[in-house]
Amino acid sequence: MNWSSISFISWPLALGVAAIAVPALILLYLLKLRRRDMEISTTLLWKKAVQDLQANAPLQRLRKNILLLLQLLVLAALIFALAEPVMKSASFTGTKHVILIDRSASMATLDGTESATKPATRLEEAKRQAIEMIDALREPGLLAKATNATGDEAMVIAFDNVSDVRQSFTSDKQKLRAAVESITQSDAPTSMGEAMRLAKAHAPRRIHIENGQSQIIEGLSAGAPISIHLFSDGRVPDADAAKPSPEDSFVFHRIGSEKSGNVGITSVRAQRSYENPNALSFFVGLQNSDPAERTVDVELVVEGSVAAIKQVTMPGATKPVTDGGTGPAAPTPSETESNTGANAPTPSDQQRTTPDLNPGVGGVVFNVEREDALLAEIRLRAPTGSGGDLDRFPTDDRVYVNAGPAKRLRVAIVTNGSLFLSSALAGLPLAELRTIAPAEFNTQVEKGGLPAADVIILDGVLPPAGNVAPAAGLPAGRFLILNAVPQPKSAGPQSPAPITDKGKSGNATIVDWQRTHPALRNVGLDSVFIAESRDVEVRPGSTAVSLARTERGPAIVELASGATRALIVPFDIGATNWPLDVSFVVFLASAIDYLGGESLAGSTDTPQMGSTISERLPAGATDIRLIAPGETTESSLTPLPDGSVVFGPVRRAGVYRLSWKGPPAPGDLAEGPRSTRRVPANLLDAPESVVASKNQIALASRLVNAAGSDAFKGDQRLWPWLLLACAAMLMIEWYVYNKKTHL
Amino acid sequence: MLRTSSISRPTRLEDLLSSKEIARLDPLDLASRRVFFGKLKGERRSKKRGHSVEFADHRQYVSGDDIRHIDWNIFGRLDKLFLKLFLEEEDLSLHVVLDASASSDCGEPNKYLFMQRCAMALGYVGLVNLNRVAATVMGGIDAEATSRNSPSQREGAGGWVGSTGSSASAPKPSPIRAVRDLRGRRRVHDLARFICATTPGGTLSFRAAAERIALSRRGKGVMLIFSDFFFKDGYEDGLRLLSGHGYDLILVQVLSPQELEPPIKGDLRLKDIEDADTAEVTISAPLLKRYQANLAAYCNKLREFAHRRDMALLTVKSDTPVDLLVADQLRRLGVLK
Repeated sequence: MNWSSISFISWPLALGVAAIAVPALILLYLLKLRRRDMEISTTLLWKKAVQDLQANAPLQRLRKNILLLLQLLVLAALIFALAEPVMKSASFTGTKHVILIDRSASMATLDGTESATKPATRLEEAKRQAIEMIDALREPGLLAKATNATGDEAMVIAFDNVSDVRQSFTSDKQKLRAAVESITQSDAPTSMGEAMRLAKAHAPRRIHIENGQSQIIEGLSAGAPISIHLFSDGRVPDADAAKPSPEDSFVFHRIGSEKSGNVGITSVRAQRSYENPNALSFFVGLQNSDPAERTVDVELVVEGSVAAIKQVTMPGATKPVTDGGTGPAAPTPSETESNTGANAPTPSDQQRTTPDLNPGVGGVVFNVEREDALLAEIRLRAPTGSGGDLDRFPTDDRVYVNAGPAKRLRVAIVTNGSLFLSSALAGLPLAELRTIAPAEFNTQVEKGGLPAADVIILDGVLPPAGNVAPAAGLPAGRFLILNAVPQPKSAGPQSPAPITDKGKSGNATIVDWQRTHPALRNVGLDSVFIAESRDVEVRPGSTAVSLARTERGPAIVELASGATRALIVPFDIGATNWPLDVSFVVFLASAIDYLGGESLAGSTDTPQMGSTISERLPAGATDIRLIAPGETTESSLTPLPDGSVVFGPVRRAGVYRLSWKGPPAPGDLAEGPRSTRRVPANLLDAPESVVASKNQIALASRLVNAAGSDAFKGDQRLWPWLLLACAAMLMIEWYVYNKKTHL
Repeated sequence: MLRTSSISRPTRLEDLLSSKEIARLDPLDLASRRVFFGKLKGERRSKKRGHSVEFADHRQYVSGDDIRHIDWNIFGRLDKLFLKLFLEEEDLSLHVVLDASASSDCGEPNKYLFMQRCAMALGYVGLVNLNRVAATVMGGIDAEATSRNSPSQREGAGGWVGSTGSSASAPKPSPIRAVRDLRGRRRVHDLARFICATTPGGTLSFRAAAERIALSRRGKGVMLIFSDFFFKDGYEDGLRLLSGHGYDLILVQVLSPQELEPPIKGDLRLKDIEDADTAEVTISAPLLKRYQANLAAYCNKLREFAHRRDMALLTVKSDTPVDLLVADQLRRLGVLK
């Protein structure tokens, strides 16, 4: 036992008690004992005997009294226990601990423990180890409030590609344990940067005071140094961006096995043939991070029944070619931190991080003939007859993908003749492209009908204002309006019209646009010059949204109201250089796809894990509910003004089921009055699919080795042992008391 | 040592001595290391030339001799006057003294009961052999004092002598109570009744009691004092008063086994049963050793004192069989033959 490593938490209390209790005990011994009365024939001889003894040795009684000695020992043990002695182990420094727990997809790998019979996920193991560490934290002493002493404090942060603080700094172990227990598995990729920022944000800033002016020093924290404990498999792509303060310690608790190989699906896409929309192809990208060559069966399951199985053999992962200094840019370890207690870096610590193996890749294509929209599941299986599990990371062995129906859009152009439009639209794969004269269009509208088309392009034409919905100024339908601004009637003085035409004005350029809007995705508008723009005012918070704007005001506006949806380009494209730009064709295609395609359920783009999903539902959808994968309870969603619902961030891979009361869009499932749309969410993250845990983690400023398994024994509390000794001494005392006459 | 937890007090002779014990006592007779002159004609040969039938000697007649004792046969033959001397046969006085202070009422077996039985055994031997037997109880409570309406304190043979006022209505300790001049087998039950009549209790001033015994005694003989001799005011004065007045004094110190080997432990407040004096002790091995050493020293001192005064001391444990004590140990001392 190293005595110098023992410290006392509540030594003032113990000192106080000792100062009172020890003299009191001795005093009690010197004073009268509680004696049993006993009648005897004569006290003559006893008195003499006692006098003799006392006369012989005044301190005899005290010296020879083994009972007093034992009681003093018991008291000493109690006092020591009261002082709450703790024996420090080398691994714990500081009194503030930040517990970072990785809950990313790779932590679902079933190699948390070595036991083959009862495999645990890495997250479970991480939680177990974290709780073990929490249990080992020093608690505040009994007199914590009086002496202002605090125990170890800890903070719990769970992270995947987003982080959340599960518990801010506290010494309440119950809270910390509950916080750790509440962490659930996510299927999102890993990103530690936010977690590190959160951890640092909770440490107080160091403030420099000079001439009465206080100044916060960025990057330096005040107070005791914090120690950051990362419970992870080490597969943190952005670890090299994490920069803990130099005085903070960083402990990496490695979870999982280094040898875990994995076969997973890293990309998938469903695409219909351009020429033959019935021919549907699924492109599946596979990855093998196992050094050995792997053969897997890839199954395509369409709507619950297996449609095809293909066997794929992938090469094993290979070592990257290293040629001197041009290898992967590993951070130079300015400070190597070893968690085994030795401060001097050993030669092995000086080594650079071992670069990852380059995973072997493979792919497979399934071709099926399907006309309608479908949800396909692609899953990996161990080859038939080989038996056993494919690998220990099941999340990426199964992906879902939506394929739209083999349907092309019908587009009607209402124009007096526009060369740009007709030539641009002619190149798009449309089912039908009809050109209608404005007079004919007006006649149809007045009759209460619309041309049979998915999207109607109004080129400088507006439908007659007679029988249109007052809110939109347009009949129910999908419109791309060029060179005109519909005039929605204001419903009253309380709700003015969402969009107001202010008339034509001078030249302008587009300065800003929503690059993420489906109609404007991949459209570059910065080179567009408008010679004659039109001023439009969009009322904020109304059904109209400005998608692009010039320096004068909105340039492209989306108007969504009930069953009406329109993209409005108010200026005359003939007076711009836009038709000559490639972005015009892209915009047209995207806009038609957006307006018409929104009726096609489920895009083929699967959302990224951890992001939010936005789905546009058919008009009139009410009572919208969502069932996440693996859950049975429905959550209720409220649609946005433009008719779309947003949910997320999605944390679990699988199929999210949106159901609503109302008509289904093509591709949706109709079940009585309700319609259901299935939104797949897949991991599809190649780095995350490499699940072999890392032994080292390279931070921006240092290289951290995985801590040993005994790294967080923490502080050994000694008081239970003292109490045990106390009990033993009490028993000895009892024995001595009873056997005293024979001693 | 400790007060006897529960005791059944003897009331009759049969409670004191069993018939088997009586049978063992029958062949015994009293003896004395010294020969005393008796008062009545007894079965004991006296040093005195007397009037018994047993011839002892002749001596020349001197004037003044009783002419009735002249041996006329010798005068006829030798024409000289000789007196015929005969051996005198006398009785022997046995005085049994019991210490009935509260300290006697202790121990397992009870010390006082042991004393009562010893006294009865000796008294029986004395009475059966036509000796004069007297018994005295020092201290104690007269259990029958309340039941006896008119004090039957008759002077004389077989009479009980209460020394503390006669009309004691409540039982109260008295320095001594005595019965004297019992003779013959038929007084055995009287003696038993007397011995059983006193319950031990109260304190005792041994000196005062001894003084009274010395003043009231008659004749000479053997006196046995049964006591533990644990007297706070000392036993020396009392014994001095009793010795040297024609008595062959035999001290029987009765100790309970618990007094020899105290079975106590722990922190105790020891309370004297007689005077409620307390001693606070924590029993430990050294203390016990010291106690036993003190006890041995006390007994040795008593023995030395007794030897100097020509008394005999016998220290017995209260668990000694009475017949063994009487037939063996007292016989070896010469009290019995």
